[in-house]
Amino acid sequence: MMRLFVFIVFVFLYAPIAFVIASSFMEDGSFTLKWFENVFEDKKIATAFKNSLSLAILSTLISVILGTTAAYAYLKTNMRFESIFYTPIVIPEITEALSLLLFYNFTSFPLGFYSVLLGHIAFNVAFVFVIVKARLAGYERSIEEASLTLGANEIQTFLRVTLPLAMPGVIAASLIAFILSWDNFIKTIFTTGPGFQTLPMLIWSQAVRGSINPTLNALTSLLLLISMILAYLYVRISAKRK
Amino acid sequence: MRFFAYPAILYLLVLFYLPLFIVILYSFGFPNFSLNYYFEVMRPIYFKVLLNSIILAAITTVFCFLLAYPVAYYIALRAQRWKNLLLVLVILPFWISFLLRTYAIMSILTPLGLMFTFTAVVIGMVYDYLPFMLLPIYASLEKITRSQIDASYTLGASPWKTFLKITFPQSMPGVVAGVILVFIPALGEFVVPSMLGGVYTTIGTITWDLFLRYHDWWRGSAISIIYIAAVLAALAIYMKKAGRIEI
Amino acid sequence: MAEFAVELEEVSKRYGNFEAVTNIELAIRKGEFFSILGPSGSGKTTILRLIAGLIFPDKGKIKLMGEDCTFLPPYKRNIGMVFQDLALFPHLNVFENVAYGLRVRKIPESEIKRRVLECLEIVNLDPRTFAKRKINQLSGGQQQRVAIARALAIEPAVLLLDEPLGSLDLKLRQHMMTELKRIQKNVKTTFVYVTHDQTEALVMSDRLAVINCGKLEQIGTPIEVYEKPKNKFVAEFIGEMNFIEADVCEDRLISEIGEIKARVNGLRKVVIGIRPEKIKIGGDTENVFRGKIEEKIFLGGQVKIIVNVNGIEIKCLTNHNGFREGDEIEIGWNSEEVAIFEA
Repeated sequence: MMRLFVFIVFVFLYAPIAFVIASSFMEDGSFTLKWFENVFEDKKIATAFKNSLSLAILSTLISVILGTTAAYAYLKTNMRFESIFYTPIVIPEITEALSLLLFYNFTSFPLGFYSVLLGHIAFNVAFVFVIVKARLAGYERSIEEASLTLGANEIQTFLRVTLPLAMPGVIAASLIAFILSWDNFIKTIFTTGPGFQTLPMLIWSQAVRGSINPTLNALTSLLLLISMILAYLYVRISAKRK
Repeated sequence: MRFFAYPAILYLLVLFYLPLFIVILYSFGFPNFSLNYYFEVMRPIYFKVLLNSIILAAITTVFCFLLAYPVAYYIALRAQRWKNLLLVLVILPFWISFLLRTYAIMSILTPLGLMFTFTAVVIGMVYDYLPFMLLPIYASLEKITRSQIDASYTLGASPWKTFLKITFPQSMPGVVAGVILVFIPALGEFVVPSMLGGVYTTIGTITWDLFLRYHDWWRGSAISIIYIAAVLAALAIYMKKAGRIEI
Repeated sequence: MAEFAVELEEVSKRYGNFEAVTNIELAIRKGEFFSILGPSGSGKTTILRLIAGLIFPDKGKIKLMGEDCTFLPPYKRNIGMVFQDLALFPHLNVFENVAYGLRVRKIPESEIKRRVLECLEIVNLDPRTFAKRKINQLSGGQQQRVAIARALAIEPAVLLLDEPLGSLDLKLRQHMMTELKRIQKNVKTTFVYVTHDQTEALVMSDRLAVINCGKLEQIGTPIEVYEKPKNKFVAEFIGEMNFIEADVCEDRLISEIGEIKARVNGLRKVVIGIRPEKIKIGGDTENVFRGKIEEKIFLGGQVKIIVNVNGIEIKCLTNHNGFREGDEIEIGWNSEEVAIFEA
């Protein structure tokens, strides 16, 4: 009995996804790749893709540097008030989004790529901090001390011991930051300016008008694929603990 | 060494905490001072919106719970052979962005002609928020061993009594976490009501309108501050309870 | 009134293609401390779970106190069970854990209190100190006792114990063995105790059953099973045993170590078994063999020496510490000390 219920819930979870993927290969009942061709030929989509990508890469880069160094500092020196980094994660996204908009308005900061980027970094720094700190916390002290007693100085210890150990955690955090930026919608749409559009914004702008079309389905299917790949990468990196 | 953390801290102060402070300023009528905006926001028309949001969030939470609990129970305590696979399948949608998941629901509801109804919005909300309810509940249930349930049977308790006295009480921390993880963000949700409901107004859609359409920073800020206050209050209650509950 | 507390008649249980237990016949007497002893995977826990009602047999009947309860669920059987991982309820304190079965039966509060306190005292836990404690604040041994108290509180006809001492360290285990025996004598409940540790079984049981690969090999008192093992498996599993192959030749046996005096009927090839402690050093026995000491192992109270007789290694036990490796000695035994098995 319970098994049936569980099965139904899983169908509920996956039917919409399956439907989107299936319909992106269909035209009037027969198989076609036409919609995917449309996706790759569409200029708007290409621009949005470039925007999303550069946004994600830059925000990941900067937030990882800021977040990792902060995590490291907190761990080594036992700093307090790390709740500074927890609040951004707990606050509802829409609140964050509108606060940024007000901030830019207040400071007359132009809205566009950079306004979005700065907003993404703020959120990602907090995430990176939390993830890296959690990962490093297990190892820190004794391993570094062991290295020092074996004759390596601070810099050598950092390069040969700390950094390699921290790597999986840093890469995992990077993946998360990337995904968060890549998929982000709410913050982005509040802080964007004229002419700047990311992939989520593009999907939204068409969908909110009620126009579901197969090209959009195809685009969504591709994005679903990318999400799955990133998820898989994350799991693999996470598994590499030692 | 400490100064390594300063860039990040500085960044957050300027681009997270300062903006929030500015919202508070605007809610009080910046550049003037006034409590009017708070009063306006408590008027009947806004109140209806608040009620809508609460109803929607509550219904979403209830349905998420009804769907999530049995599934979490099954995977944690019954599945055995397929446990890992089912777990992966449950977590997978989590990795797909909210927007894409909502679009997927939209694409299946459209041919069914169910769009732009309250039902559609609820379906969309439940679909998007289900993992947030399921995972915490699963985490709590996971801690209960099969032998505890067997022990309860040998002590004379029927399966139903065992569930009431042994299983459910131990799953409470997860249930509470799930409720918070769903109800609070659902209150401020605007993607789903906009995409699936058309004219259904919530705190989220009103915020959107006030900020992005009417540029009404003041009323928007007032509403947002009230929303945040509610969120923080709920969190405070949870923190207090969580201190007493064994997690 | 029923004579037996637990009866299993031709009970079998399989999982897919795997036969967990085959044709089990068991009759456990009321008030007995009965152990089921066997290696890992032999099916002993399966038997226990069948008696508990956590699983049902594919064939056969199970009776408790004379009543057929083959397919009754656990909560309808008059049993209590102590699980291998103890399965205490972490969200309830000690008192509530022990009281659980009583609350489920809707027993009045005053009676509950009386029984819980009584059971805590039986297992030697001071109620004043322990009643309100949380489970995670207790040591392994203390948790052990709470688990036993909880199962005893409902006054079951039969108490089932699934390798309860496995996770305890040696000293604690020895202590708990005495405790369990004392508790059983005190409450006079039938105990069915499952373990892979022969010491536990031999020390505590009134009778025990040896099980291997889902089949019962022998049932008897500890002395019977030790002194007169029915087959090679039991002989080897319990205690130490020397095995020597031999051909039967009228009234004696021919083996690689020499001639052995023994009378065997109906078999042509046998394996004889002789326990190390039954072998005497020196020539004063019915059978005598010469060999060279290959190895000497100091065990504390005794010395184990491995003697090589014509290429066969014989383990012997002695109190005398004077032997050295390389010495030539005589060892031997009397016929009645020997067990004879089919080859």
